[in-house]
Amino acid sequence: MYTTLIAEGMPLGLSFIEILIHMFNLAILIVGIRLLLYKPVKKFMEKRALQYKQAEEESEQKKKEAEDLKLQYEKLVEDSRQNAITITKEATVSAMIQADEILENAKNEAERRLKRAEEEIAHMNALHKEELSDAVSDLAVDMASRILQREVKPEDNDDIIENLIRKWKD
Amino acid sequence: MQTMLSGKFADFLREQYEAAFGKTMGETVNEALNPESVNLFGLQVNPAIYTAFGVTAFLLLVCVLLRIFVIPKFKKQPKGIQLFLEGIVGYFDRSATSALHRHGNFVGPYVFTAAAFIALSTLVDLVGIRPAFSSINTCFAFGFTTFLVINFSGFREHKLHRLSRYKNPINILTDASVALSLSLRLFGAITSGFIITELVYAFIFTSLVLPAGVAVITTLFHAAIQSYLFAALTIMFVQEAVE
Repeated sequence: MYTTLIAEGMPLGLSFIEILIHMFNLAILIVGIRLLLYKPVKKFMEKRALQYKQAEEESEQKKKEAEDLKLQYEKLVEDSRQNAITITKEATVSAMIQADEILENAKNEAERRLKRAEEEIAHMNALHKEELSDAVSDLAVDMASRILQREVKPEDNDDIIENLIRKWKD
Repeated sequence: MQTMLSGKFADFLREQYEAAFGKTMGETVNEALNPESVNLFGLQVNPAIYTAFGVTAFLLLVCVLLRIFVIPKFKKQPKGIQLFLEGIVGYFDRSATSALHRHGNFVGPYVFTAAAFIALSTLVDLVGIRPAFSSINTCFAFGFTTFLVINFSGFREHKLHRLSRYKNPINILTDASVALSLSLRLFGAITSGFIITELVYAFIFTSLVLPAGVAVITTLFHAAIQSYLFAALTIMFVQEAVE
């Protein structure tokens, strides 16, 4: 059986020349497939992967920017809310202070006017009393003149009139 | 009883075979292993070399056609032939670069080419063409080329420090056995399938339905398994060399 497997003195037709030819054939095929198929397909896939990676990075960047903006806007909204609260509080306080001032002013004005009115009343009273005193004095002088049939000068009856007036006043 | 029956059946087949072809099965096997030499530029060579040339020419032609008509029209979303090409190139590239890193760029195309050649040159058996790996020379060529690739990568990674591993003489045997084991595995697997297919086709009454099953087992499976094994083992051996 073994002898039948011998071909041209070498087992199984082993030939170094043929091995070299096959290796050369394989080398040509490797170079051909690498240049014509493997490299272009791999290059295309790498380029596409790079594009996807860049798009993903860009997307991540935009997402991050959007999140930052969202945080900024949320902070802005919160600040605005706080500002609004502060402004409202300040306005309330200011309004209350203003209202107090208005009330105080009104009260002062009222008191001032009341005081003035009282003064005016007092003045008018005094004036009317003065006028009344003069009228009573004239009347008394006139009456006394008529009783005494002579002219009585006001100086004659000053003491009497003053007493009378004082009594009247009281 | 069963042994006696199967023995009688084998004798019957043998007699039928000798009656039909005028030679024994052993002689047919010998012819399959040692076919008549053919002339190649004055050299007497195994006819399997023409299969190797034919497969190489076919693969290069396909690559040229793909490069001209298909690859320039690649789209971002792969489908059809683009999907297939990206799938196989991506698989070999990932396998090589994940295990070998920078050496993957060199080893990836090699294992891809070797796997494609092994698969196609085995599948030609389905159309009655002699497989390229039915010649021991083709197998040794692949074994030695892989041996060169392993050592090239090893020296590229470790420079002359790689020689220090041969202080232990057992490593010389280990490295030499890589080339031998790869070669003889291919030769044994593919040639056995080829011989079985030859024998099956030789009988008129076994050549009707049986080849459909036998061809799947001995040719299709072998084409796929041997391609995968060769690629995986090459990557593994190179990985060992560059570690």
